[in-house]
Amino acid sequence: MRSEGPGLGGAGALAAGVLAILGLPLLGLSDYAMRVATLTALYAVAATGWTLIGGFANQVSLGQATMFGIGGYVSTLLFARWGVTPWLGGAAGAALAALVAIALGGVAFRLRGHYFALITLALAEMVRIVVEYDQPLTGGAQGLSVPLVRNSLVLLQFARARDYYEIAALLLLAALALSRAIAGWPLGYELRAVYDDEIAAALAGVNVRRAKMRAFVAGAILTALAGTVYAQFTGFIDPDSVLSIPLSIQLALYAIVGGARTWWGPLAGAALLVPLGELMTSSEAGAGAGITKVLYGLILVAMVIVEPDGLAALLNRRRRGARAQA
Amino acid sequence: MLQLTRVSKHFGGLAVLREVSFTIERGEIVGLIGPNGAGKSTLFNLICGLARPNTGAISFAGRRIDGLPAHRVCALGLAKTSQLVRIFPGMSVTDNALVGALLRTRNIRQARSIAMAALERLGLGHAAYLSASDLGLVDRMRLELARALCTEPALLLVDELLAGLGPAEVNVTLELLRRLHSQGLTLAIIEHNLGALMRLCGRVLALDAGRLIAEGSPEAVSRDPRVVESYLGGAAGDA
Amino acid sequence: MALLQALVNGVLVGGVYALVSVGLTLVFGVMEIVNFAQGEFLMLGMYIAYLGFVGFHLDPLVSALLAFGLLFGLGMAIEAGLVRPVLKGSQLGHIFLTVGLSVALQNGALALFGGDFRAVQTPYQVSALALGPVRLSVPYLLAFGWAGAVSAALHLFLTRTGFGRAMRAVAANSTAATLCGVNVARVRMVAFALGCGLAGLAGAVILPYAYVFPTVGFQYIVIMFTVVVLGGLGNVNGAIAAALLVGVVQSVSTLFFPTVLENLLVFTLFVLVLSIRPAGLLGRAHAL
Repeated sequence: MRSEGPGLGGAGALAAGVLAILGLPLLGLSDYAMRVATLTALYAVAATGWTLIGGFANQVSLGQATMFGIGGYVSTLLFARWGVTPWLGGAAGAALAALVAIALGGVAFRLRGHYFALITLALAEMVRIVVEYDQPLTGGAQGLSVPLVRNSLVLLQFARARDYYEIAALLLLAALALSRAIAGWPLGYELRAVYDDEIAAALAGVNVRRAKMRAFVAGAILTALAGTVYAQFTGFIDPDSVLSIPLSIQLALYAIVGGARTWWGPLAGAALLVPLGELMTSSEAGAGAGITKVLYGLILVAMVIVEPDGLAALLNRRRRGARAQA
Repeated sequence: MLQLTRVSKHFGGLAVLREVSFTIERGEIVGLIGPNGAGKSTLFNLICGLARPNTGAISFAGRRIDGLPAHRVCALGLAKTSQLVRIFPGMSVTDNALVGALLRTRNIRQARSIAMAALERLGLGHAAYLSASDLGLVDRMRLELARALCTEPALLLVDELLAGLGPAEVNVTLELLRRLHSQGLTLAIIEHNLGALMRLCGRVLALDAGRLIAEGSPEAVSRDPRVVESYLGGAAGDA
Repeated sequence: MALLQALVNGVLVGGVYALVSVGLTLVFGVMEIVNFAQGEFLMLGMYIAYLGFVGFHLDPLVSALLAFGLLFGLGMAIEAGLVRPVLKGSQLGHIFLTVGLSVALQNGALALFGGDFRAVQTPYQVSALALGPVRLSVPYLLAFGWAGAVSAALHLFLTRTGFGRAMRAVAANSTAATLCGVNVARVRMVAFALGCGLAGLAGAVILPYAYVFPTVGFQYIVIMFTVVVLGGLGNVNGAIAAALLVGVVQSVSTLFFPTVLENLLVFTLFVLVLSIRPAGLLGRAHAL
């Protein structure tokens, strides 16, 4: 509901945040902890991609995982079949995701309301069906392994989790920087106007379709890049892990819990929920399978009822309250 | 400056506008009257690009504009304020106006100064840093006007600005519109407050059941038997 | 001959799609929200019928009434407790409330019942009627019969009863309906509950020929959306016609394409319709 400012404090806090993100491995955390941190960073990037369109413009995508999967599958296929470095493969995946976003937006952004959510959901299912069907190329439902070659920056393969983490952290900083910049660009103002009232925005001269399209494409690229790094990091992808509707929902959940209208909300949400999820899955007995996800669902329900603008709004309110008292 | 030629619009089987033709010249203040359901707001929506006519043509400044999307029409210098005041409640007052200014400059600082100037012009300078949702009805209406002015229109369509205002506020608003007009803005105004229209407009168009039934000076139109009848019929229907 | 058989199967399956989709489109028409948990209500209906069968030897076609009643009640509670608070808010809340419910219900079922595929054994499970060269599978036929009966009852309710007419009035224009003295809040509650109840009933009637598992609702949900959009969001008759069409498209496409791709064609149809005729093949414009 509030207008966008830099959000978390001034330049000092920002610099401290950057250093904290990059310097995390210096704490000497275990390899497992660094793996969780890497996952957190990658999901935060993907969720940031969702938030550019879902949070900033209130155009809810239920198929953001499609972009994640495109990033993962394109780079992995190029690498596994033709030995193309994932650096290039990631760029190719991002380009394809951008094209898909343009095609999809071309259809969906002519309509208002729930059509965007429905059409992203349908597309996500179509892509999954095709990937599962074309087994000779994509490995089908069994998935696809990234060939392990050697520890190499050129091939984006590392022996230690902390090396992946540094790549993920750099991508995260780039994503956050882009998201924060967009909030201050004319595009950011236009998206907030679209969020509040599309018709009023059009009457004020905003090219509503163009604004949505730019945000959607930028978000698709971010999410696809996260997908590429994710594939390299885990060494294995299948439709369930990178192309599923539950993943799309999960990405949105991170953004919503943290605050979908802020540039740092998706990171806050991911930092809270990814480690929690990992913790619960690892401690979960076989019989209790699904409890984590039940919790996710309940958190989502509670969040949209209590505070649809997420933790960011709660923080803002407290800060406002403090200011009012002072 | 604005020319409508036999414009018709129907929703499903329901004809809302039938072959409406008129022109508005630069520098005029034109009033549009008619009972509820006469098609006034639909007419404005067709002109500003929120909907497209089924038949007929709309030209503005020598260009066909029917079928253009609203933001393109706005870019050509034709803005509209809405009947239900439509501001961006989640943004600050300044940012509301700034969004309009982005049509003319993509530089945020410049857009901000255009916005501030427009707010000052409408007497909203003091509220610049409030959240738009904190404004009262009169100020919201001013804010919507300010946002429209930021798009630098040559013609402004005003849809029922005075509804819900007290007599003092009506006077202030009329004064405001007159001042904007004297600064070079052409105005077309939908209004139920006929007294106010008479004081403001040089020419009045009367719509009834989607047809243009009278056109001329306010005095002449208000005495036109068809207009009187349409209003009496409408009033009877409303009561 | 195969084509004729596929057509018949498609219509029979389409009847069940109609049952679920009508609830979805009704809720959209009245409340302007898309219930993304509709598939999970179908899943719950299947489990209710399954438990009724295992525990009390109730035929699923009988438990259908029970499923309808239970889910109707659940729907009322959900509407009052969860949906109503977010109705006034942004689209994000509208969507993620039911998405969250769907995730919670799906995984709740997983925790409760495990991920196994379960089915019931009815005496008529494998029987079929021969109608000339065409075979009519009895479970499909019974489900279709149920769907037809309920659709007819629903039609009567919406056109002949005062409350049903009020519901249609709210769907057409809730402000005007309020002005005319319609209790919009109650209409919304009943519409939402009806949507849930119909999904539950549909779940029960398909149990004789379909497996139940926690994510089964997901197999139906995108199809339901396709149906609802093809029929025009909020348009009940459109949804019924579109459901039959989708059933037929799906069924006929298996003659030419591998079964795994049957939904691909349906979704392609969905995207095509949205790009060419967004108001739906048979629908009225709701968006622009």
